[in-house]
Amino acid sequence: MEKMILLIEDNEDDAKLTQIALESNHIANKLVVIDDGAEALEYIFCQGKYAQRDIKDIPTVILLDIKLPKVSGLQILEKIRADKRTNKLPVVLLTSSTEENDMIKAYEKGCNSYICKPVDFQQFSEAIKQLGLYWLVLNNIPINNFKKEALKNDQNN
Amino acid sequence: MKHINKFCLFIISFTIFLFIGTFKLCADEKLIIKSGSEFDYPPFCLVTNGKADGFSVELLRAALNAVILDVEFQIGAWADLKDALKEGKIDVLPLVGRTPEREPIFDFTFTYLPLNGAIFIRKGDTRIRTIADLADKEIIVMKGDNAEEYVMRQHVSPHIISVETYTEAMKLLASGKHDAIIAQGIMGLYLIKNLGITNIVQLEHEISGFRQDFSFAVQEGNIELLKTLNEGLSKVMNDGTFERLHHKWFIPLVDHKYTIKEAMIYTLPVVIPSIIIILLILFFISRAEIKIKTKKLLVEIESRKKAEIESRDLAKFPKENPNPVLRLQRSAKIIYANNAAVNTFNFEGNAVGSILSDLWKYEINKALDTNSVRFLEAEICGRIFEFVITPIKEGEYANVYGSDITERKKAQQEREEANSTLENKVKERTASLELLNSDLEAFNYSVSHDLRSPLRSMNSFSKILLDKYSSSMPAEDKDFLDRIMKNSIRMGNIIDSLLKLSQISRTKLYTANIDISSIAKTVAQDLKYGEPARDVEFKIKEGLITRADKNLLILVLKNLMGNAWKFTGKVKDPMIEVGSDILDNENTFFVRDNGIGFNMEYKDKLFEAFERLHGSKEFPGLGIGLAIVKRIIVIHNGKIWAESEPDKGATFYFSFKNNAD
Repeated sequence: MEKMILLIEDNEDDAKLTQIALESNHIANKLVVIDDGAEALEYIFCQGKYAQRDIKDIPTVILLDIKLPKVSGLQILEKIRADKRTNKLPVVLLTSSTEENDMIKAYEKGCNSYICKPVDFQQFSEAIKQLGLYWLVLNNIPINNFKKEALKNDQNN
Repeated sequence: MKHINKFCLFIISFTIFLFIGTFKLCADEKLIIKSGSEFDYPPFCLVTNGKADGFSVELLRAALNAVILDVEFQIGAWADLKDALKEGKIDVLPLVGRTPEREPIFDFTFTYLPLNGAIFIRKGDTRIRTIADLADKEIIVMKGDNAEEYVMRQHVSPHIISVETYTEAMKLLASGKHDAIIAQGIMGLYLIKNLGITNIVQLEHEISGFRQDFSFAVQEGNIELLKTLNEGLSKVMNDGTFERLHHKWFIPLVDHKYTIKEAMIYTLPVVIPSIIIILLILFFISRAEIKIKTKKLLVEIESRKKAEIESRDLAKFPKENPNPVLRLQRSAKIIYANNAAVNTFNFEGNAVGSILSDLWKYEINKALDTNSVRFLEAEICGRIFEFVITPIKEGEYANVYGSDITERKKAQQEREEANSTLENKVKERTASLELLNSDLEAFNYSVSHDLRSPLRSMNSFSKILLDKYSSSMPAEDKDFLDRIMKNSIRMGNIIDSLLKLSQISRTKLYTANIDISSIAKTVAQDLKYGEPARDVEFKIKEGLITRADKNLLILVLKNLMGNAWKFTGKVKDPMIEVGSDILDNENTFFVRDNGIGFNMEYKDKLFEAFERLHGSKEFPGLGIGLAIVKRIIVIHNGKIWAESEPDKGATFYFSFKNNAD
């Protein structure tokens, strides 16, 4: 199965820069970008306009901004961690905020990593490169467990 | 032989018959002994219902009965009876005193009662005290009685009057005739009692030589009867009969033996001195008591006098009181008002008798009904008074004590107004502060999240363009893109610093004792590490300790030492010193350098954000470091200031209010 990155980011420029940074660092995995909190939840849990999507096609890592329209990044994180089908997904907060309060809340709700996006593109590009390498190459996730939990959920429903 | 036998048998039978018959006849035919008894010799011999009676009579009968004999008494005068016995007309007399005169004519049984004779006189007759006093007196005795024999024998007096009975003798003496009677004591007392005589008493004087040993007497030579009588007498003496008879006839009088007079004679010698002693003791005690009581009374009189003066003075107390004092009845009618009250209420004419308003009436009644103190505040002629109403239940009135509380009230009102104004102000301030705070939070949030993204876009896309067209782009255009990139980064830094500044203001302090020296050493090392090419001398004093928030203190030293590092960049032999001094009695720390310094003219601008005293080309910086330092020192309630001269280095002093403890 192809490894996929889910980027939830409402700033078009940032999304574009992330894409460029990935490409320029030769990370060619599929990148799904969603710019709205509510839509992101529909995507993750295969609801609404993503109802046909198979929940078993899980993203390898979710890059999540905090400030989003409708539903905030922290709320999305909460929902992901509350559902057995998604609670083991790696979620990386990728945000401009250096506020300690934001970091505390993010970690309390169970994020796997908290990255501040630098203003300098060179530093930004480096950060994205590191992220990609770490979560797509080095890190492992229990894929079978995701499938099992998804099936269990289907049977219960 | 047959006849002889028959005759013998007859003789024997007849003899036996005779014997038995005689014996039987003797046994049946009780022998009657003749005796005599006097009319009145109580309690020995007397007459009851025409028959002989008395102790001796009964005793004789009992003694004879004990030897199975009977007795028959004839009653007569003593002298006649004595003659009758002498002549053998009677067998025995029950009561005969054994005297020498009688020994030749009578035989006596053993004595069953020895008794003494006595003298009887009229009450109050002081002439006769002993037997000797009778020598010239007329003495009455009974004819033939022991007493007669005794007076004759002893020649007690030449004037002896002999009478038939002692009853007659008593009557004679009681009626004032003759002077005394000599007779047996107990008998005399019986007679006095029986006759109801009140003016005859027995003289308390024992007559020696007139002791009567009473016995039964028989005719001289009647030994057989004497033996029988002794036998009977001893029987009745042993079987308790004597005792019973003695009890029957004597006890009542014996009980009366002690007359009041006798009792008095015996007891007076003890009683009178006792009474005298008791009276004396009582007299002394009461004398002492009287003394004490007198003293007490004097003291009491003195203290009462004092109390009177005091109470007179005290009575003036309410009158002299500068505050109104009143006494009111239930109807709010005034029964007392002091001068102050009269002035306060502004009464026209006499205050006493005036009636106050219904409000007063209500309060007075309430106080009396509940028997509790009440308080009334009232405005009178523009002044405010507080009245304490004290009910006096017994008097059915209330005492009222007033005090002018106008000033106090005014002050209280002002205070309350000031308080409420202050409270409102605080509320307003708090509200506006809360609003500001939430605005600031929102601003911070927005700055953190939104302000950096556009900068990143500017920087990143410039960089991408630069990378894409670096070979074909003119040098000047490249410089333009470069400037865009640099400025976007600079603005990013400014934003970071501003956020830091606002963060510090919102920081909660966690103070502890902090080792400034060791922090300074770490900061120095970091600086050297950042620019290893430079050679800067650090002088850091050991043991610098203060109470502060560690993270913030690190920030202070980083900024101050960083500045020193920066501004010594162009001097020879750069030196940075961290130390402490006591200034104005306060432990003050300093960071000193020998850098380019600054003009003290601009020292006010030094700690303001984004103010710079040097060009950024020469010494790059955002102008926010000292503002952060000042903010940190301020939230520690500390002080910070700087001293410098251009080209002579600068010293930054700082102190913390919460110094090391």
